Amino acid sequence: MKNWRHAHFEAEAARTLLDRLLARHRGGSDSIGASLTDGRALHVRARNAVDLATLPHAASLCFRYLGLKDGELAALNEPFAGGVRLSDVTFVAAVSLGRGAGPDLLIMSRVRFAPRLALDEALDSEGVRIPPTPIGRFESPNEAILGAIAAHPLAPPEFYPRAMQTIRRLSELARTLKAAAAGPKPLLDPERFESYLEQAGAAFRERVAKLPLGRAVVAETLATGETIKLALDVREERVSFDFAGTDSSVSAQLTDRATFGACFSAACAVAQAPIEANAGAFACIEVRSVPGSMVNAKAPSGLGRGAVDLAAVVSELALRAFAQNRPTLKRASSSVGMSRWQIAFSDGKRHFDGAFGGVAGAASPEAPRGWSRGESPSSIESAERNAPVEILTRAGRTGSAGTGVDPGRDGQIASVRALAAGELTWSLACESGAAGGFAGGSSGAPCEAELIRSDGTREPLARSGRAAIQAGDAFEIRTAGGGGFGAPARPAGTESADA
Amino acid sequence: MSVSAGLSLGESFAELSVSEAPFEGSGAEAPARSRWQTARKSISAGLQEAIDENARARGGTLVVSSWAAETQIARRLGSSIALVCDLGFETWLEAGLEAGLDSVTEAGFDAAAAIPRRSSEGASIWSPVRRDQRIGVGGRVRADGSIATPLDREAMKAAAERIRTAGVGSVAVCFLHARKNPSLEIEAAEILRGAGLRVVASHETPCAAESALTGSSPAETELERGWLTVLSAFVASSLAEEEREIRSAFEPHADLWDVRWILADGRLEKTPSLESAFGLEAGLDLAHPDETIVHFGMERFFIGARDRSVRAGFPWIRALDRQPASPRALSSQPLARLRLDDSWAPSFAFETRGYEPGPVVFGKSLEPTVLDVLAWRGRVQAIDGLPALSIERAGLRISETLLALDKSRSSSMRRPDIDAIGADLEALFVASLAADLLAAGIDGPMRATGPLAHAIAPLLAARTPKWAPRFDTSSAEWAASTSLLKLAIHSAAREARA
Repeated sequence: MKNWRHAHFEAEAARTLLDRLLARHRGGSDSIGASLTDGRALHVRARNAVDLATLPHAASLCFRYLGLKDGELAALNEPFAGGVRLSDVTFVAAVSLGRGAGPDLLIMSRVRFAPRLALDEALDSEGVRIPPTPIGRFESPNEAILGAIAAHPLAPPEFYPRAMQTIRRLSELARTLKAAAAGPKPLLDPERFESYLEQAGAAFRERVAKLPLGRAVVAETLATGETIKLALDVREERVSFDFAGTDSSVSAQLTDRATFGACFSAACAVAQAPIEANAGAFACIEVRSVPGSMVNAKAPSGLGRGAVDLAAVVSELALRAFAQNRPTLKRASSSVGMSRWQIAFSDGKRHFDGAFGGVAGAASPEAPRGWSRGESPSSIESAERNAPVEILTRAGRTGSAGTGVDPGRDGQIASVRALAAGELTWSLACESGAAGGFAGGSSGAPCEAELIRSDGTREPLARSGRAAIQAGDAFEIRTAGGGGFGAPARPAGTESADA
Repeated sequence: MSVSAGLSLGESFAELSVSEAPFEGSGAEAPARSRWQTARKSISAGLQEAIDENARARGGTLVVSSWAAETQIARRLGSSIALVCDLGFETWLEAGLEAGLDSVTEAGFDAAAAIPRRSSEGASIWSPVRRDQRIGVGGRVRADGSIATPLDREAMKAAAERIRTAGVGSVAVCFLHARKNPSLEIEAAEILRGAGLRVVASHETPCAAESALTGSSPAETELERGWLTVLSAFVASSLAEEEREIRSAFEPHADLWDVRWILADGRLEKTPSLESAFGLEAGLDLAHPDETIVHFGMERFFIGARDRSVRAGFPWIRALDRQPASPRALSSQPLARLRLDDSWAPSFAFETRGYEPGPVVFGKSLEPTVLDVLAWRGRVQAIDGLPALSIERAGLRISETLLALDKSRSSSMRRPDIDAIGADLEALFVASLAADLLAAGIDGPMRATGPLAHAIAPLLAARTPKWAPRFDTSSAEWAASTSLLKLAIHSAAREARA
């Protein structure tokens, strides 16, 4: 039966297989994917929106410049070569499924390490830069190169073991993919990849057709004074995001592909679509931006903050634009982005952590709340094992959310005490002011941070900065609450005189 | 001669499998015969029947496992519980769950991880512990295991009294670094038990083999440990009741049967425990540790790991998978099902909502399931003389959903020839199932069990000979014993009881 239904079922079976295989071989907080050697994504299981389009791009560049053969590996973190930020390292491998002379697939895994919090705007201060680099084969990774990277002063301390673990996972994935493609009735057939992408695109176009049609223009001015402008144009089967007029920035940037991921994920959220993160679906989305603007950064701009904060702002802005054409999508403001802090100790140990603000109240359950994650908060026990710190508090910030018919959600409270002298560096989320309410809902509480000295003295902190601390000093942050939506009903017996 | 038997206390059924081959590793490939008694109080009758049928048997080893705990978690059927933890960390479980646990979700791509969340998903993750029942108590263990602050005993006693008067069923106790030094937890548990409360302490839970947050091994964090503890407390009360009921059912046969309860790590113990409630599927042949057991259940198939050292902690993490933060989270490794979403796009989604609402053939829903496809294709048979299944209804619903699908794709109003596409549907289902097995790392012989094993396993074997199941599918008795009709009877009986 070679009709469209059969093709769709086969595409669904292939998608399911790829999805489950990728899920099985993904490390805890990593993103993983498979793409064709021409760079088109076949399936991406992303941990963050920014990974959706950057991961296949990274694989494509590695294949193109290094000429990877079956079983060969590469690594990179260069943000302007498909990476995101220097603390996220991508491992790429080529896999042949036995249909031709060269590889049929590229598989990639992006490993998240604790970022190095740098207030300087230069990229090089965020970590060791790894351009597309060959690192051997599955059965014989180049330990010398991996060791050299690990020995760099700015490399994450756990780089080498995590790298080897990721290579093992990719090796197992490659073996399973080969097994799936083997035999007279293969579960995975490279000759059907085009059909699979076509089906995925068709399915996503149907969902895009349900988006509110028309144009919408929105803008967001960051606390630093820079403005992002977005003109959204939704037509049947295609959505365009035009960021013309967006400022450049020295505090937060995104590469164009990272911006694409943020826009694509917003469209998926509004379209209520499970993400078919592949080239077929990507073709329904168009993103235009001026090179050098903060959503299309040029080297050597620092990208650490952008990857977390600015991506969330872009998604939030896109959601606001969609809401202009559909009232049920209207919402208050969420506290976007992640506030982060680190304590560096003289013995080289480093404590890093972060916290999110609260999300917004909305007009209906249909409306996405605009919440995204950059990295997972660390385990309390791990943090205390790895550095001389004591985590004092990690809890919800009760009462910080804006009130409303649909109230916002609370922010978080986190505090940590240093058990040795060190240097504290902090950076609050891009938009750390109060997340505004909407349609009568109230704003959430703003983000606040304090340095609490061992004698109890409290020093309010600015949006970002550094400070020398002593043993016994503590850092406390109370992130912003989300804005509330809609005026809450008045209690009985309090009707106004004109009612 | 002694026999070996396995009793699986599942979500919907209690299945008893009896094999003439003992567990002692004789390697005999005797066919297994299965009977089931669907009501728990009939377990005793089922055992008696097994004894009567095998005249040579003088009893044997009965291995029991129960899915009750996971069922209760998935359906939120547990009791009201409280959580005692370090002061200042009363809400960290929720925050940590939102941040990390979707990384172990197996129900497909977790859109919530990467994109702005929908309002419904933005609501609090389900937690078995109400916020007003989470109590922080002073006391702190350092990372090196030393005591930074001793337990505030007065606060602990006040908490115990508060919890007791709230009528809580169980208390989860979880302090930081309890693996390193459980003394605070031990002390807190002693005070709580002194107040007459049932306590589950985190240092007593099996250690997760792999961190759900980082994927590194071994790297259990307080998150996995805390959630396991909370979930254990959630089911502890009701499981205690179940254990009493089951133990009393076995008492009349104590002289004949060596009853063992299987734990999550594959060990057997004489008495049931909370761990056994999270146990492996019954029928696990401990004499063949290199085998893979695949249980083809009504709403899922389950795979028993070959490497029991990896197995340790795995069911506990799987229990976390069942967090019903969204309907998708109810699935674990289910059978593929034909599903149409709001856009009438078909998919063999690896999702199921469990046994509820159930297949069309049982008259329980209008949404075709794989069971309906199998029944409609004649892969499962009814016993003559007994009430017929709604096979025609199943075929009609499959046809109607496919017609709706056609409407969305073309202007043609012709009803699809479901007989023509039936073979394709079945082939695609089998391929999907094979893909799932492959994705789970199964690439060799398997021993198949479960109510649908006889229907599905041969299809898999025909497709991929290396997956030929190790049981006698040609036995009419086997087919009859696992017939769909008995499942239908059970369903009707259960409805009547409800």
